[in-house]
Amino acid sequence: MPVSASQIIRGYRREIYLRGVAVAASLFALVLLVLVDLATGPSGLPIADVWHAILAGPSGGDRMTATIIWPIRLPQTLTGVLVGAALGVAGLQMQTILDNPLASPFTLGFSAAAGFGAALAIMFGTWLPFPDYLAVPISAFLMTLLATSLVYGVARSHRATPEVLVLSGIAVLFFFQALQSLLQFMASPEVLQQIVFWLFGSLLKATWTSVAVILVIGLAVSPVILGDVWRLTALRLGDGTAASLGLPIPELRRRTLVTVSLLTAGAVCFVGTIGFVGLIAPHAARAAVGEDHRHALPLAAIAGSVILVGASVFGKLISPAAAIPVGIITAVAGVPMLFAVIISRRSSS
Amino acid sequence: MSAAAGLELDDVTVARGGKLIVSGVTLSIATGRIVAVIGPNGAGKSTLLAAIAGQLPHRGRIHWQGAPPSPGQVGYFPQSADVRSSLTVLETVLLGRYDRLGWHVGDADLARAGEALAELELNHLAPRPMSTLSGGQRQLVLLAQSLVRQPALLVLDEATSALDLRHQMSVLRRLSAYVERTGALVVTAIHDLNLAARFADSMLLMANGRLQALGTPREVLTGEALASSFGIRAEMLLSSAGEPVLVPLAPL
Repeated sequence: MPVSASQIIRGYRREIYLRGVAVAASLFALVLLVLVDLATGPSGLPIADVWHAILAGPSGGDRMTATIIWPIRLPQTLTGVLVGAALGVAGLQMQTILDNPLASPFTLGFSAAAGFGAALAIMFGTWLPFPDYLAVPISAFLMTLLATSLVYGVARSHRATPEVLVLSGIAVLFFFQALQSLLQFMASPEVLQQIVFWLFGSLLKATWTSVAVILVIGLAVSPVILGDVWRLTALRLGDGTAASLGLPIPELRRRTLVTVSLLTAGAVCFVGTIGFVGLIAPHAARAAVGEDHRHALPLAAIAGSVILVGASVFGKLISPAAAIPVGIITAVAGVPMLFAVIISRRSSS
Repeated sequence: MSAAAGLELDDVTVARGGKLIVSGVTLSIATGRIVAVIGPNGAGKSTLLAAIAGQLPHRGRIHWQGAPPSPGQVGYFPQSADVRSSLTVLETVLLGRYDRLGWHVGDADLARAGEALAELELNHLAPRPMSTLSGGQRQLVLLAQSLVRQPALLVLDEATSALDLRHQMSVLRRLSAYVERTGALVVTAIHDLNLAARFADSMLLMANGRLQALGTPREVLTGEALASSFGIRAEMLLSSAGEPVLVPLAPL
């Protein structure tokens, strides 16, 4: 049956509207989940009290509730939201530039580099001119950037193809993993325990500083990410077709690599390695709103936040006294999700 | 430069992986026509087309209307063109103009994509994901993507290779209409010599990386040229419409 141009336009507008509804609905679900996370913990709070404590500010309302919410739970929950969003966006970008559905922000060895940086600061932090709570994230952040610069250097001197990026990323991954293992081997039992706890990935390390830093990094890279929204969507056509449209693919890959590394470094340097969020969130986003990055990017961010805050709630519910680190929960929950992705891809192909 | 000459190549040489693929091609082609690039496998057709489209570095001069062609002037359909993602057909065609789209896609852009789809009778596929289409349908969608850019120079590398005969003829007829309407130059690699002879205004014969002949189909498709370039013995007949028809007889 012939379809007129006006029908095509109407159909497209309707599809865009539905995608907007999906993004808005996910945002609403995230807000509810944030309230639940704030209410959950060793001392359970009614959601209404949480809501009033937020509205009243750090010094207003019920003192006990404000003391629990403002300095402790709110920074942890907001860090969870921001880290989840950063990993979701970084994962979508990584899967796009590597043209690989199994890529994540950690594919190119960034988590191993951050882990090595953290271990280095935990072991030798006392020699640095910063307090411990700053030395560890700074060192983790800098090592992630060092890993990026190694991969970037290879991509710059050779063709920035997915194969070149992945192979150089694997080399970086093994290099930093080896260094991390060396430090763990050399560490005293107390220091080793601290390193292992950092590697678990936990929101308990979150503070208002982490919220501010991750937020600033996110705001700083946003113009670049949003400016490339059509280019990244066009890259989903595949290298051959995208190049035929005049897309500057090597520059786009290198630029995106830098934004991914900044987002990932900011996310993991405070809370440690949190796996699977950056792998699963992009798939959830694409399944709901398709490949257009105008919708897939915000939804990947929201999906990442939902997964991480959901893992936080789950961890606190099953072990209220000592919340299980979210990194462990996302890793355990991520395995069946990964199988689901693999099976759904097989059946669709 | 003469006013009619759209595409000018002067001693163009292209190497890939250290090997010379195209060597010393010099030619001048006027706008407002379809030029079929023919030749045996490995003749350098795809490499020459990629260089013309600005996709490969080359030595020598390639000019479009007196200057090196800009990406905005050229539409290019590579031989390897394919899309496996779940982008919809409409999104894929819209992305042909990705460099001109804003956050909000206006009605004008959508209408243009709709027209390009209608041009190739694809409008009923607009909401379908690319991954659900057949190879031939995907090829047609990518052709629509090339057309939505409304390029003055359209470079196609076997853009009809996955199509059945009816669709091949339909595409070539629509390309003729596009040339007539816009005055564009279409340079297309094509293996079916009879179709090429039927629809092309000129033919460019490549063999061993070199330009062997450039002229009308009747001038290029000679028994000697087919023997030396394709290694076949063939008879050239004339159809009732006076168009050359090639009858392959035997390999040499």
